[in-house]
Amino acid sequence: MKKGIFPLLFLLFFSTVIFSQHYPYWFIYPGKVGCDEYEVGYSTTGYYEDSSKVVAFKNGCVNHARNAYLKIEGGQGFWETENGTYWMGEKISESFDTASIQIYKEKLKLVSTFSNDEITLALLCSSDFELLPHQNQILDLNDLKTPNWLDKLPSSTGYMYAIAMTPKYYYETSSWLEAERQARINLARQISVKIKSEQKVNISEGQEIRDEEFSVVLRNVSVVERWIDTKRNIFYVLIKMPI
Amino acid sequence: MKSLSHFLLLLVSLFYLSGCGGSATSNISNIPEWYTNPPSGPNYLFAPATAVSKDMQLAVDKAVTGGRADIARQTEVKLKGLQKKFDEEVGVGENATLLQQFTEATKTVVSTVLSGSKAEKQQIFENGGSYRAYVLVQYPVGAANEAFLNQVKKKEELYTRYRSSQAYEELEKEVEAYEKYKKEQGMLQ
Repeated sequence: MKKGIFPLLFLLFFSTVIFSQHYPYWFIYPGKVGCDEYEVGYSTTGYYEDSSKVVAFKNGCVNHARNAYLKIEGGQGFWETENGTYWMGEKISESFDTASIQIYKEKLKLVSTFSNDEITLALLCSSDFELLPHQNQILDLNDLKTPNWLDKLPSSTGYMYAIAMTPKYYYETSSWLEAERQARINLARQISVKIKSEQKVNISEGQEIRDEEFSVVLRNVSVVERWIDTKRNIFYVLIKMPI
Repeated sequence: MKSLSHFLLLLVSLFYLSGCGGSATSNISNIPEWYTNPPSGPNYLFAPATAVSKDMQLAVDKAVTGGRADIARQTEVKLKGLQKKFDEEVGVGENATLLQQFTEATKTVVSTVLSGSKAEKQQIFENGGSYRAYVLVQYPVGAANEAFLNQVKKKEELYTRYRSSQAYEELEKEVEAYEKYKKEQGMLQ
């Protein structure tokens, strides 16, 4: 009984100490790969590795169809009081041409894949593209510097950028997909957002009802970089769109 | 042997407890300089804002919307502000003033569309299981806004040209025929 406690204690201790995330370069820095039209597809790693890769490829085609042309509309409300800001809910919908998924299945080529116990990733490019050796390298996120774009949005002529973050969900695939969705919403709000607000202040208290609405079309959105805060398990995504 | 297992148990407990606090906690010294002293310029309006939530993205969303509402109020006041001040006097004599103080309310209503507003800078701190987000919302005005709108407009012009092309007309016809077919086949509700 006494002997049994040591492996358990070591397991508990090292399960959190040795938490490192390894991903290929092309997944963390897809914007630096050099392919004109690219996409990353996600899949939960299943028993059969090949099936996971096929699912990841299909997901990449869906993601690409969505990023190529997407109508995004909705809104959310907030109620600000002396106690803080309360979120009053949201309704956001995305619609895109699902017929183009088939076109991308024929057009996009599988360039590289990566699998670990949780997630399978597929890099898709529009042409027969060959990665440079360093682009296939597996990176340990703990060895990389925290990117500057977490604090300050990049700026370059002709592009709009947006970032988003999500916590770790049960499936890592969900975390990445949700981070990308949030980033698209943030991008849409940058382009055009209707702000409605009623602020009431009297001698004893102040409060504000706030509502935002948007209806925007996004075209040719692409993920530029990804990042994981391994200590807090937060997934970050930086996306851009040409304007 | 027993003391060693107790020591290890204590070590693991301390490790887990230390992890509960998070890595970056919010305190007064963490407040970004741009929050207390926001930048200003002829081409941009800036609005710093902060908010708290258990969800990191929601903390940012709350703060950004707050900043956008602030900018909306700045532009509305300049352009077509609607600010109402309600004074109400109830009671008589000495009580009238007191009651007036309590019922005096300022109501600011804003409804405007912002194009090109973004969270230029943001910093997030963890505090007892919640996240506090500080954001600096930037909105282009004057020349910067004109440049942004021109870029969007160029794209719209291109799209308008595409919509008036023969290829688009053909697409419309095909889609119409397909929609009709789907209706006939009972594929549409």
